[in-house]
Amino acid sequence: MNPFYFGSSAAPIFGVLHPPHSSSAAGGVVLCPAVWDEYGPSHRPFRLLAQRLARAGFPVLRFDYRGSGDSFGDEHAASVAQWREDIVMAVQELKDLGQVEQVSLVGLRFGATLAALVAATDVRVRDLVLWDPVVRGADWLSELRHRHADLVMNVLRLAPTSVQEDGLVGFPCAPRLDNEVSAIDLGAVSDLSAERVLLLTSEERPGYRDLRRHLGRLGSQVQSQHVAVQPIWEERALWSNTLVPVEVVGHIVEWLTSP
Amino acid sequence: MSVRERIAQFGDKQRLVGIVTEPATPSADRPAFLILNAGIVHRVGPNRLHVRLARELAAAGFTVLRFDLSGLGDSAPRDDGLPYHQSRIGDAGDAMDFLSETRGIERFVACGLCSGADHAFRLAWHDPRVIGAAMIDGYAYPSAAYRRTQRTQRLRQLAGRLLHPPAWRRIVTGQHPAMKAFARRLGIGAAGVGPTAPVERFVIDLPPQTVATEQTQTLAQRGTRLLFIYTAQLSKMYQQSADAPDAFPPRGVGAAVAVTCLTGADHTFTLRSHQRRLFDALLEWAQAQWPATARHAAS
Repeated sequence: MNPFYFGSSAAPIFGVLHPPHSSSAAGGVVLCPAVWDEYGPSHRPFRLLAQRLARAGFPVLRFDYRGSGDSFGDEHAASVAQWREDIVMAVQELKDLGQVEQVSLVGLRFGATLAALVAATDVRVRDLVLWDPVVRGADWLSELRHRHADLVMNVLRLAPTSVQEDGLVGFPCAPRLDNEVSAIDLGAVSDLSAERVLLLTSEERPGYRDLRRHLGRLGSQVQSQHVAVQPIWEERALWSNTLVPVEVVGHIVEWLTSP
Repeated sequence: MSVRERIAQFGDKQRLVGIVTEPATPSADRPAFLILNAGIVHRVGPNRLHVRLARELAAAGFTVLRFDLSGLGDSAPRDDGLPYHQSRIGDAGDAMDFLSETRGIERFVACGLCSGADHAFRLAWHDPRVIGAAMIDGYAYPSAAYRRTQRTQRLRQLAGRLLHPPAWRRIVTGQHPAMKAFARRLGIGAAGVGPTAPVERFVIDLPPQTVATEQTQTLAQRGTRLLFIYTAQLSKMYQQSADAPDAFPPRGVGAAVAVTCLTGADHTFTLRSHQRRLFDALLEWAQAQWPATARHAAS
């Protein structure tokens, strides 16, 4: 495991390269984390996933988007375009460091959404794993706002006016970013460069059924898998036994290593 | 003051991973801060709190190392079988050795939230290189008077509810919070959000109050600077216990021990304004204890 920085010197991106234990696998894998308060709980499963994939022969790159995690960059300047650029840079970095021509993307929550958008227009990827993706940005923002408002009014018992003034679930969300996220709908993606797509869900959510049908029409080979575990990005998972959903991790490794 | 960051790998077999955040012109004259994991959250901290705090402290002239204790985040587990608390003290010792060897720093301030506060206190107790500890929602004990008040309040509330017909209706229909909690334990119904969402829960390895009190007094006599910061629930408990004979932190320990109550903030500082209050409190305390010399201030 080699932690390092890559990208521009103005705002380096923190990454961790997991070199392969053997050269048995085709290509490498970039892991695209969730964002905001869903990022923290994704660290531990992503580390395990990276270790398992490296053992299976893949070079793997984990990274933090600019302005998040250990990366540099102004968190107030975050944008969907910048997050997508970061994934593209991570793909190129893994191709260079891992000496591989093909790269697959595994994304969790909004990281999965970004990975799909990147695979649709920015770079050609081999396989694409969408782990509990955010299907419609507007719906997700609405959930986050509800969670934020619940904390402010019901737990902290502050005035409703505080809801608007204090970021979103611990993170700044500028109006421009809000608009960008709101406009995203994976059901509107018209092309995917990935040869294969795995839609992995740990809970049934509105929109997944339509997304499955839509992905199937895009020409990629699509597999859908439901593994019923506690959603790891939710705070209540911290108090359960689901810190690392090993079934999900195992399924991703198995699917990526299958021919 | 500009800030720079570097990846640090240290300890036996380089198994510990962290980030050093430091001013552009760091100084070994001022102590370095060690930011310890909060529970099992990796070194970034809940709501990226540790990253922001490290950058704030570095901008004020302090070198900071936020790192993952063994088995957490990106750090590998230890293979020497040390008991839990000893392993944490050993990891922090490795972090201090690393900063001494690479930056010539010999004095340290341990800082942490929740279990990180517990480790910070124990580290101050065990390692003389630690000259200060900033503990957020660490050790807190209700005074006997506070416990009595709480018991009386609960009895009054219960009596009020028993005489309140709508409460009985909510119990019978399962809408009462107690019934909802019971249903959740049985796996019936969703946890959901809204007024019935679970309140904050966190755990800490709390030593007996007599032990914490004696150690606090001894540390204060040694000159170790201690800052206890409490958020919502604990700040209420502290404020209502502070004047009691059995208050914690103990009274009469002088200026070495300070307490800051961030009333209204949640345990993980979800609101940006609460994060700001935390940073201001820590910066003010750190600058007062270890002020910049004229040379540092000019750089």
